Amino acid sequence: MNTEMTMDYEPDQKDSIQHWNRCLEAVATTKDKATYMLFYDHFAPRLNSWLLGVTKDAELAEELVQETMLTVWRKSGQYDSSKAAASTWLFRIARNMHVDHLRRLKVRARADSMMLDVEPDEPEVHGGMHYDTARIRDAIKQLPVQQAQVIYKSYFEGKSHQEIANDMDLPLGSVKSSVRLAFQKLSKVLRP
Amino acid sequence: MSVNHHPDDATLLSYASGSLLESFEILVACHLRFCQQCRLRVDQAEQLGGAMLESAEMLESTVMLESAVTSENKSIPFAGRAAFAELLDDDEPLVDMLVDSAQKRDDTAGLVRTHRIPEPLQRLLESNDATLAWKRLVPGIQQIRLDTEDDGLRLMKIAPGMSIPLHTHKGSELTFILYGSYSDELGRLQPGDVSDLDAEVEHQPITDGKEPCICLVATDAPLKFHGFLPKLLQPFIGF
Repeated sequence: MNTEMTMDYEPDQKDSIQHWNRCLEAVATTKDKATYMLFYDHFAPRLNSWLLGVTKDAELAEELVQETMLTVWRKSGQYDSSKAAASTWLFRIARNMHVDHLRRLKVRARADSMMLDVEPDEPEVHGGMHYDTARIRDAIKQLPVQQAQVIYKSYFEGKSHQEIANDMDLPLGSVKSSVRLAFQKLSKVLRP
Repeated sequence: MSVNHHPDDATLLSYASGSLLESFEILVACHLRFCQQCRLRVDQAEQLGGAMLESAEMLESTVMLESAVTSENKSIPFAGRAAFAELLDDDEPLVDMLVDSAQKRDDTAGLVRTHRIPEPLQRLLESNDATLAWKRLVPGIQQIRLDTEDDGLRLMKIAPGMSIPLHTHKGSELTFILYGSYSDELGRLQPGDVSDLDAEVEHQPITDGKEPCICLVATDAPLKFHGFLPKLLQPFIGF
């Protein structure tokens, strides 16, 4: 149905990564709402599609999209394109929001719970500063179907290895080795 | 602290994607505190996450799964756009109201990943606290069950020279060493190390050294301690 749109989208992938990094940096310095809405228009539908997969709840997904996009707006001053691509930064924030929501929901009754940060004090480390979406897309296309499926289920359905094993009727060990192999192949494409 | 044993790449990817059970997530987070190599790996998996966000529709057609979300055309504006634009236009105090009050106005909220670290574990991470309420399981083995949403996390304190056939017949098992050490077929595990096993690996850890070994264990299938454990536990003679 939307094949044509997808095709139209292809040529500029590498530029597109840089484009959104620059866009977010511009937002950080200018605090320009119209510029941020361009960023929003690009990422909100994608974020929603991902959050719909992991939450299986349209209302919640939309709520988390808005919460994430608002956080990105408010914290944009802390974005540094030399450390992470805008999409990586966005992914981390959305993941944190989603996981926090999940934990709060289920442990609300437990009064003694505390959210504690276990990140080390030392500066964050960063493996690669940028990636090239076109190359990652190619690498994903070349994965054997089973490896693409376990990766999809890990990222887009938020499933644990055991849940994936049950879903796909595979031994747990096969799921883990498929995830491992796919990760190793895809991470080679990340530029150091 | 030199770390020699790490979680499997598959475990690190699932940590990054937010799809580990809470017990496993907390254990991996403990290891990451001490292991730059694994933090780099998680960082890479997060970059892949960002790339996946960009490539969602392509991935969905690649995986050929019925469960895959059928994405809307990405060129159609997101349904919440108008509401969001209004939020942006509103005054700052109103914008704040949308953000969950639990997050307050913490500068790092959302930017830094946090975990709900159970209190006994927090105390052990800070210092070897002897005053914890250990419960004796069998002679030489004590444990504290920790409060997590999946109830799969426990602390174990094992006397020196014990042999522990911890067979999980189903599921995964992650062990993080806090104090002391143990050896098994895969090598010697010391503080900061993680052993990442699934059902196919059989191992028989033996605590070595003169100190008790304190470790954090995450499992997603019950360890059937009751009844048969006493039979399996054999003090290791000769160490």
